[in-house]
Amino acid sequence: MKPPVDHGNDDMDRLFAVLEEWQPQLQTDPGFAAALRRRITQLSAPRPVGRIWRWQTWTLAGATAAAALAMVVYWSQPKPVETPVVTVAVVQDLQMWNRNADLIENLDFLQPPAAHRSVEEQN
Amino acid sequence: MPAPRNSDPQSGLRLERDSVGTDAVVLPAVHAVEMAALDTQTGTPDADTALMLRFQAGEEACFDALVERYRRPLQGFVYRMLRDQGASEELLQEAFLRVYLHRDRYRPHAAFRTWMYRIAYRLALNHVRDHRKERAHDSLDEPESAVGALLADRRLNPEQQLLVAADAALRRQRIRAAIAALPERQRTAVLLHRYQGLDYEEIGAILRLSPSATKSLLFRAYESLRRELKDLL
Repeated sequence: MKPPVDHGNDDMDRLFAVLEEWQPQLQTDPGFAAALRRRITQLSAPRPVGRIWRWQTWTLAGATAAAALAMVVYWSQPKPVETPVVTVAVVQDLQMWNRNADLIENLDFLQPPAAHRSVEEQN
Repeated sequence: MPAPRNSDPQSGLRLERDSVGTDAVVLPAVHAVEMAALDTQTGTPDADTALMLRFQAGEEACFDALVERYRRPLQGFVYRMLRDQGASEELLQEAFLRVYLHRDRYRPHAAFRTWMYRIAYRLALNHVRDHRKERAHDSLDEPESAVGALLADRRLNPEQQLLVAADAALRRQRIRAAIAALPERQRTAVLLHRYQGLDYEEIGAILRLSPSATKSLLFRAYESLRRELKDLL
């Protein structure tokens, strides 16, 4: 069984003789073949469809159907017509006018402030 | 698709070159049936291949025959790879289980022995990588019958027997440690060559190396071992 030594080196021959000293005597399990057969039978047998598997399948199918229905409903609904908000400058001006009516009414750019006015009057 | 290069009309064998450029003997389906009718009691690699083909064809008994034939040699190989008897038994079961479950994948362009050892090698390699930390230290409690034989030697008194047995155990531990210290591929090549009796082509097929690369690998491995075990030679 061993391949022939093909290098003719004495050292190698001695090395091979030393290596031969490692011969573990392994116990052979008498139940090895039976255990192997058992595992083969287990793996070869068709797996029964369990309750959990069925429950998971139905849950998944239900969730998928519900999601699909929700998508259909969502996409089939008419979208509301969006009315763009037009902010015209005139409207903004009117709003500002209303908010600051008193201030604008009393504002007079040509009238100098009270302090300046009194100094000018003294001069 | 490999191109036919050479064929033998008598045997029906074809020599083809596969995708990686190696020549392979291809058995046509008709030839496989013929081979199955051959006597498979000789225990040669060809006979094992024939057994495997018969198993592929549906003969369950051929699988049992292969298990019976390969169990011991594979156990020795796997044990030397793992150095753990319990793990080697489990791994051996796994290897045969894979042969059974993946029998359709076997192609007779490779000898069954090579295929079988390749499966065991891959499984052992995975196991070694997964349990690297657990194998940090080597143990002395290896099952050896040599100790028992020495103790049964009536020419030696009990004290001498114990000394000789202890010396033998230490030598074996040195050998184991030297082989274990080799790089993974060199170690596997030595185990397959020295202890399993596989030739360069077979080892190369298992390690996915060319025969010349396998020779080079083995030469380097033996050189390392010769240096490491110099005082034992």
